[in-house]
Amino acid sequence: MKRTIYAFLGLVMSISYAKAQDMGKYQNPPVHQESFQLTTGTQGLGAEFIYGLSAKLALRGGASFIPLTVNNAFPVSGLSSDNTLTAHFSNIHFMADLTPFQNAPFFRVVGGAAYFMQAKGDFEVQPTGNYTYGDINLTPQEVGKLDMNTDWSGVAPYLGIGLARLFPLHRFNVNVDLGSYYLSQPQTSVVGTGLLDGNSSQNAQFGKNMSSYRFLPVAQINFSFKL
Amino acid sequence: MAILKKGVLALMLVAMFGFGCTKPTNNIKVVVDANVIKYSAMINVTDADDSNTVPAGLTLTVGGEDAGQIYEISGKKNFAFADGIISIGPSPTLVPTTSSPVKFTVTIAAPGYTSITQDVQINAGEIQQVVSVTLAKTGSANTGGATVSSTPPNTSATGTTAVTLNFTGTCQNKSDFEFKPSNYIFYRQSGTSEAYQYLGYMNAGVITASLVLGETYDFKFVYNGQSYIVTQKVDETNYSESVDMGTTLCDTF
Repeated sequence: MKRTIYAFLGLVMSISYAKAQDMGKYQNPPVHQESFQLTTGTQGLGAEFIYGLSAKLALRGGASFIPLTVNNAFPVSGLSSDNTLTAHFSNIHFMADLTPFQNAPFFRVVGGAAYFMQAKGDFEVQPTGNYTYGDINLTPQEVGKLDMNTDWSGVAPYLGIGLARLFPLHRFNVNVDLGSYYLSQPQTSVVGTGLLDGNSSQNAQFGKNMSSYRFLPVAQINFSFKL
Repeated sequence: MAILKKGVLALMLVAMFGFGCTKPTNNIKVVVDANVIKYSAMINVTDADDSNTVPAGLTLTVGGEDAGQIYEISGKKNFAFADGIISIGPSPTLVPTTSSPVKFTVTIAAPGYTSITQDVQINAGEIQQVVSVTLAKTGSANTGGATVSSTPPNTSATGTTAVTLNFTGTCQNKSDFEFKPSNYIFYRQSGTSEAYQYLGYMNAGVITASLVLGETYDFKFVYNGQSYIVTQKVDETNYSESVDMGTTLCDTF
């Protein structure tokens, strides 16, 4: 896995370096250039509009979303159950791309912030199979289910780096963002039904455990089109 | 597609959780509410001549039209007493209605005592009831009998304060498992040999009762022929009590 990542990053940087050799042929810095890019990565799918503000600075704004539902992603030890893990993240964001080194236009420092309209992770556990209480067989409805929810909605600052040119030299290029959002303090809830009804008492501990989970790393590939 | 979705999700979670200091499930317990038998009758047996004495070798036999669906409050068909106490009720599939109450009989016997058979009827909405039974020794001038009450005892008196007790059962063989007992609870002043008095019914481990601040009490409840006792000096109005439930009850799930 590591080799794959290193190989990918190496490829991106070599492409960028090769392209940088031609930069004298083109307008550089990309003042007043505009481009549009489609994004895909750990924050899902999205789109961005980019505007070259100055020699070293470009601004971009966009939105992304990730609606994922995975059944039985993680087995729950000691409990015969079906589980569903869902992640719903959607945001609008504004970034500033700073190209600090004139001779390295493939490297950018990226800062900004996003407003997460949705930033939720839900884990639902539904016991399956035959459960008994003493000699009494229980139905799944009687046993109930357990929902553990975390919500990071709100404003989140972002800091990262960009690899490869933000603006295509020609009509199209590919660039990469690596960085992390620092999410809002998460709100958590633990809700049980049936015999698992009393699990709301675990919310304080769950919230304490989740309080340190505030970084949402971004590893994102961008397909950029010059406008 | 499913593999891709799992991959993206796993990458996101691993990335996020890689920054976390504590596992999300750290110290999280699966809490099970033992309120399966929602309608029940608690039977409390004493000697007709001495209310502080419990006849030895008590047995209980359930009969009548709904006998097949009557269980001890741990969900077992094992009708064993502990300290003269047993709680029984219908399975969750047998819910009493106005037109069709749950009906059964209990026959209580002990060596050297005259056995007694008592009709028990659980009506719609009658969640708990207490059947107080006295057994008379064979040849005793006293006659045994039974009284039924569906109202909780009034323990409030001058000098008492409402105190909330929150009981949680722990399991020796399941460290990530907790048990919230729903059962009848008894009490007495700690360090005395007085008979336990009925305090009330705790629902999902919680009961609020009138107690004397500064006193130390023994609290007792019974599952499957075994007594569970917690001692607590009461100085405040809220207590969380942990009860070692051993393994037997925990294995019922």
